[in-house]
Amino acid sequence: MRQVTDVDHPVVSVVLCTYNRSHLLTPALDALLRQGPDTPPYEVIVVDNNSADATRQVVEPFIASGIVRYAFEPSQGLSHARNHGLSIARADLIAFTDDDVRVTSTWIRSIVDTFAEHPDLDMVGGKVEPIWGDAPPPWLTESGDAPLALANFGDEAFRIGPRSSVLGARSTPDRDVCLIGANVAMRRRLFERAGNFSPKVQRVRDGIGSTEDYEFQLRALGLGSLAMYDPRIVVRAPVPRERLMKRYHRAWHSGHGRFYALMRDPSFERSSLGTLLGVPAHVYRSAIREAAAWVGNVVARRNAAAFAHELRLRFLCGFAAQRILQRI
Amino acid sequence: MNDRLSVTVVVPCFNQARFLPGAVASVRAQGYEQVDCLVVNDGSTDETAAVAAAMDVRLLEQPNRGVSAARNAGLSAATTDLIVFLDADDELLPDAVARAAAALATDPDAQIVVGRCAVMDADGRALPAFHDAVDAAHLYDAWLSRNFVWTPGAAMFRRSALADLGGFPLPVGPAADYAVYLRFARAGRVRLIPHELVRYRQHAASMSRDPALMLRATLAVLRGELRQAPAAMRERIDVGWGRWCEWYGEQIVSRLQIDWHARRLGTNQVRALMTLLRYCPRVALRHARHKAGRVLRNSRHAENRC
Repeated sequence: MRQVTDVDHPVVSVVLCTYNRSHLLTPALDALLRQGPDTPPYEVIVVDNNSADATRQVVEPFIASGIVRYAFEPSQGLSHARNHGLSIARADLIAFTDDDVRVTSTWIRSIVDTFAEHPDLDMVGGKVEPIWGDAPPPWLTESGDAPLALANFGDEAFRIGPRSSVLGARSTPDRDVCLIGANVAMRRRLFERAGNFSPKVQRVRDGIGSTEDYEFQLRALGLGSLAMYDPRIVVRAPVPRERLMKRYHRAWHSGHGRFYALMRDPSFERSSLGTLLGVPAHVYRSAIREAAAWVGNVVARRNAAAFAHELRLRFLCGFAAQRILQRI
Repeated sequence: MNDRLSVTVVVPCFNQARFLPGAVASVRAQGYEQVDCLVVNDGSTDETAAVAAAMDVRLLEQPNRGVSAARNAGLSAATTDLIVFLDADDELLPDAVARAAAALATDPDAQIVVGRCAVMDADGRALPAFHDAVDAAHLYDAWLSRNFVWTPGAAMFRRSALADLGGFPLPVGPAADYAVYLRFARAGRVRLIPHELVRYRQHAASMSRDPALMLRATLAVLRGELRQAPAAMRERIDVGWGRWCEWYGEQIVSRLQIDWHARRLGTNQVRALMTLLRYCPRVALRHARHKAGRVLRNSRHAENRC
C-alpha cells in the first residue's frame, strides 16, 4: 500500500484490538480505509494482542498508507490491548471497533459529527448490524443481540442513563443500554476522569460474556458523564454459524453471569434481604422463578419462551457459581 | 489557445504490465492536442515489453536502474515544452494535461504546476485521500515538512528547467522527486492548482517502502536544503526535519514491532532501529514509556500476589 494521507494530526484515533483473526482483518482494514470523500483525517491503531497467526503479515502492507499503525500487546486480554491503543493514540476522539467488524463508509464522519453537535458528550455508540452467516433460527430474539455482539436500539438518538435492569446489553423502556466495543467512541478527557478499561472483567483469548465495555460505561455514567446512542453511526458484524447454535448462547450467558459477579454492578448488588454465600437474595429468588418458568414453558412446548428463561437462569447460575467459588 | 505548448508524458515501467495499458490509455484520453506518450521499460521481467509493443507507443528500453534513472532517460529523450512523469500503475485524470498546461501558459514564472492526487484501489474504485490544506503563499515552508505530491503524476514541469537541474538526483534514492520539488519551491517557481490531476493506485504490488530508508533519504534531501537555503530558512528546515522524523518514526516503530514478533531480525532491522534512535528519539521515548509503564504494573501485580 502507498500513502493516502499527508495529515499528521488525526481527528479520530480508531483502536482495533485483534487476537488470532488474521483471516478477518483484511476486510476490516479495507472497510476502515474506504471512508467517504468528506471524512476528517484519522488513524487506525491495530493492537495485536499476542496473536500466533498471520496478523503481522496482514497488517504490514497497510502501514505505508500513513493511516494504519501497528502495536503489539503481550499481556493477554482485551482491556490490556485497548489500554495500549489508548496510550499511543494521537487524536482527541478515540473510536473502538472489533477485528471482525466492517465499518460503513460514513462511520468516522458520523462519529465526528455527533461529537461536534454535542460538545458536552463524552461517549457515543451506534448500531451493530448483523451479516448473517446463516438464516437466524426462530428462537433467536432481540435478547440474542448481546451474545452476538450486535446492537440496534432503534432509529432515534437518545441519552443513556444509569441502568437498573439486570441482563446484558438489552434495550429496556427507560433506555438504559450498553454501548458495545464494536462501535463506540469516547473523548480522551473521559479516560482522564474515569480511568482506563479494567483488566478484571476483560475478555481473555476467546473467552465469552466479558463486561469490560459495560464496566467502563458504568464508571463513566457514575461520574455524571454524558453518553448517547446515535443510530447514524453504523457498523456491520458477521455472525458465524457457530454463534447461531443454542450451545453458544448457553455458554455466553453462563460466562456473562460470572463476569457480572466479578464486576459488581451496585444496583444489582443491592439486596433488601441480605446475601447468602456472597450472593444477593434476589438472585436466588429470580433463579427459582426462572427455573419454574422454564419448566412450565417446556411442558407447554413453548420452545422460544422456554429457551429465553433457560438463558436467564444460566446467567443467574453463572453469577452465583462465581461468587460461591470465590468464597471457597 | 494553450495548445501551443507541447507535452510529453513519460511512463517509467518496472513490472507493471498489468496496469500499463490503463496508464497509456489515460494519456491518450487527454483533451489536449499535443501530447506524446513515452514508455520507459526499466528492465521489467514481466510482459511489459510485449504489452508496450502492442500499444504502438514510443518505447525506450533500459536495464533495470531504478525509477529516477528511468525518468531521467525519458527526460533526455523528450523534446517538448512540458513534461509529466506518470507512474505505470497510476492514471491521469482526463483534463489533467489541459489544466496544468494552461496554468504554465498563463504563469511564465512558474516552472512546475502541482495539483492533487485522487486515490483508487487495484480495480480503479475511489478511495479517500487526506490532503492537508497547503498555504500557497508559503509553499516552500509547507513542503519542507511534508510532500503533498504523493506521486509525480500530480506535477507538470517545464522540460528545459528540469533538464537544466540535471533531472532527478540519483544519490538521494527514493526521495529524488522530493528534492526536485523543494529546489523549485525554494526559488518560488511552483504554481499550485486546486484540482485533482492524477489517480494514485493502491494495490498489493505497490512498493511497500521501508520507512527507515525513506526517512534517511528524506533527511538527506533536507541536509542539502540546509546547505543551500538562506540562513533565515534554517529554523523552518528544522521544523520540517522534526515533522518528518515523527511521520516516519511512527511507521518505523510499527514495522519494527512486526519484525520483532515475526522473529525477523537482520541488518535491515538493526539499521531501522539505529535510524529510529538517532533521528526519532522522541517517538522511541513515547513507545518506551508505554513499555516501561507496563513492566512496572506487572511487577506491582507480582508483589500483590506474594
